[in-house]
Amino acid sequence: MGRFSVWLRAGIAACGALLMWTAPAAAQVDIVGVWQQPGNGLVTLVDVRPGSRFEFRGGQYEDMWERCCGGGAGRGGPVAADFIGIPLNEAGRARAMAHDDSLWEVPEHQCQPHHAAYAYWGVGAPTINAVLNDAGRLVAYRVEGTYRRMPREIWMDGRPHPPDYARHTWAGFTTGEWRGNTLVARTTHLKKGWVRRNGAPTSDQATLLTYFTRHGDVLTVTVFVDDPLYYTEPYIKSTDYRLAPTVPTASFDDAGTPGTCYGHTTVVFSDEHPVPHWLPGQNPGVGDRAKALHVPVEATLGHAESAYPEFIDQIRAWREQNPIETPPTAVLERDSGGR
Amino acid sequence: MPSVLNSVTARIGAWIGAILGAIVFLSAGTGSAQQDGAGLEVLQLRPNFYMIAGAGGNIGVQIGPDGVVLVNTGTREASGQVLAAIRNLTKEPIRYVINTSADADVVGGNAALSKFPSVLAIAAHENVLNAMSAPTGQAAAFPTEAWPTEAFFESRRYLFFNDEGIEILHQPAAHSDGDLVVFFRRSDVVVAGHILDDTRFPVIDLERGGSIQGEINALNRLIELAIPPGPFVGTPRAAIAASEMPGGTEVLPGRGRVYRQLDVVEYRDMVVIIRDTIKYLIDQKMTLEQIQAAGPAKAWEPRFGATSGPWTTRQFVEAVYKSLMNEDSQARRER
Repeated sequence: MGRFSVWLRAGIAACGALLMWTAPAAAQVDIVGVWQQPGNGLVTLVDVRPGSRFEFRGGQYEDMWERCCGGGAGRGGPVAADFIGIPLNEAGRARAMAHDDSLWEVPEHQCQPHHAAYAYWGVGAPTINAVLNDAGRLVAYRVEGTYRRMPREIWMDGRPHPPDYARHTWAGFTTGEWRGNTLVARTTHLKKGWVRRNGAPTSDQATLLTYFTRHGDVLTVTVFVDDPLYYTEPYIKSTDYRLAPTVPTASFDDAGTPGTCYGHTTVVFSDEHPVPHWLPGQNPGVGDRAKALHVPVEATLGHAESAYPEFIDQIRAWREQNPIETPPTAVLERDSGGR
Repeated sequence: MPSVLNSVTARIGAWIGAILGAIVFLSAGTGSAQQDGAGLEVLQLRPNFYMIAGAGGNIGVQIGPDGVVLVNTGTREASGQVLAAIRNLTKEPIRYVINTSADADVVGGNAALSKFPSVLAIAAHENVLNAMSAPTGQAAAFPTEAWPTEAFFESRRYLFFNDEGIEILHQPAAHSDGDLVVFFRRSDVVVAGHILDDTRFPVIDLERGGSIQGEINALNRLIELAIPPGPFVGTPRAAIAASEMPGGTEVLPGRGRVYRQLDVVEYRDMVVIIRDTIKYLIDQKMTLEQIQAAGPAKAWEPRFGATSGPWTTRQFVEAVYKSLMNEDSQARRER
């Protein structure tokens, strides 16, 4: 009987171990709260000439390239056709190069929210709440409060992802689990989107892994975009937030006109159903960024190697072959365009 | 004896533990894909509206006290499974069937359904009837019992069924010459048929009267019929509580996953950009082979392209090319 008891206990222990292995672990740290990018506010960048320094007068530090420099018509946004560090494959590059910023003026595109792959870059203060069930057990984390980003749940109760035929959304469908002190969230069922507003695409087959890691009052969010259709390898990007419980949160809709989104304007196109785009080889933005940074044009067109430190050696070699004749001009004097 | 008993009971204990562990492990990893026993996928889009996928083309199912309306019937081979899936949803009789085109994965189940006395009509555009039937003495593409019983030529038909208006809209010269779009107004669901195909580039069947401009017109019509999810004026802040915004028209493609308006916009944008690219290359005096080599659909090939099977990227590019050349010839003739 004694041996039976031992074996039974061993079996139950094995069962418990499997439970611990398969069920989500309890939260190790608390990520609930209002988080803000350091220096959030308007950006004023001044100069990128060699030897000079970036001059901020209040602004988002990490995402300045997403709102400082391009976009046209005072909208801010990234420089057109600047895909440095994005591991685009040939199809992804073709899709990116066809993008025309006028697309954002088309009525159907004006009010579309930001895609989850882009959700943590831009103005706004993400608010993370815990969703508890009646028994007080954690069901999900809810992330909202980022400007033009959909609220999104990170389901922690082990529910499965929807079937293949289910609809895809801007927020996608996300489940999470704790790995040590890091919350790892996996997102599927996303719409076609972007990682930069200049058209660097993600397909609707992309999967996101988002890591939430807290160090004191700093929350580091790292997003891995795995897109087998458009990328040669996962695109990885991180950003830091500081705990800021007094900061008001932003929402998708316009507080002045409840129920409507920001930026809805009437633009007259010559076509009844306009589809602004650039034909192959005609994107006028190609080369602008290369000229400003004095790097080869190909370096700006989205290749995996351009994300790695070793790429600097190639740039140096190229610059030796192509010495600079006149200093690149300042291109970054523009206020934030929001989004 | 006690040692033997201990040994046996110990092994039993170990087995119990192992089986318990296996059950826990397996149940933790099981997803609920909402599949029925036959491998079809049944998605509930509205309280009274379902999509059946996996039977060839997607099937729209509206259910109510008046009975069942089916938009499309899948392949002939899957008709038994489709009927079983519908019976799992409701015991109400099937009353109407609407075919959005004459494709085998759209009308394949017609013959089986025509045997049900409850089915009042199989409705389709008359060009669908023409494609499925044949002049006397010639072999028809489909058996007589599969043919539409109510073929019409108007650009718009409608009925009121299960407490909602249903619009049946003809889209000329798109995927074919007989395409219908079926709009369930109260449910806010549009069944697009093969005008929209999530699994491949749109099939533009030139031999059956399809054209690139008609295809683009049809996609624009779908965009106009659909509205995106909110927020809309008057939406209470608290209503935007889930990770999906409220409202939004559901659009069922001929194949593949459910679409919303912006998904249709992306698909339309793709078709327009490829059309414009091919037109530009034609204007550069390129031949079809040169255009194929230039890869005008390159940006979407990983998502919608194919190098083999019934509808390859090359076939799609060729269809767009020929359709543009036809338009050009027609314009010259009219001048």
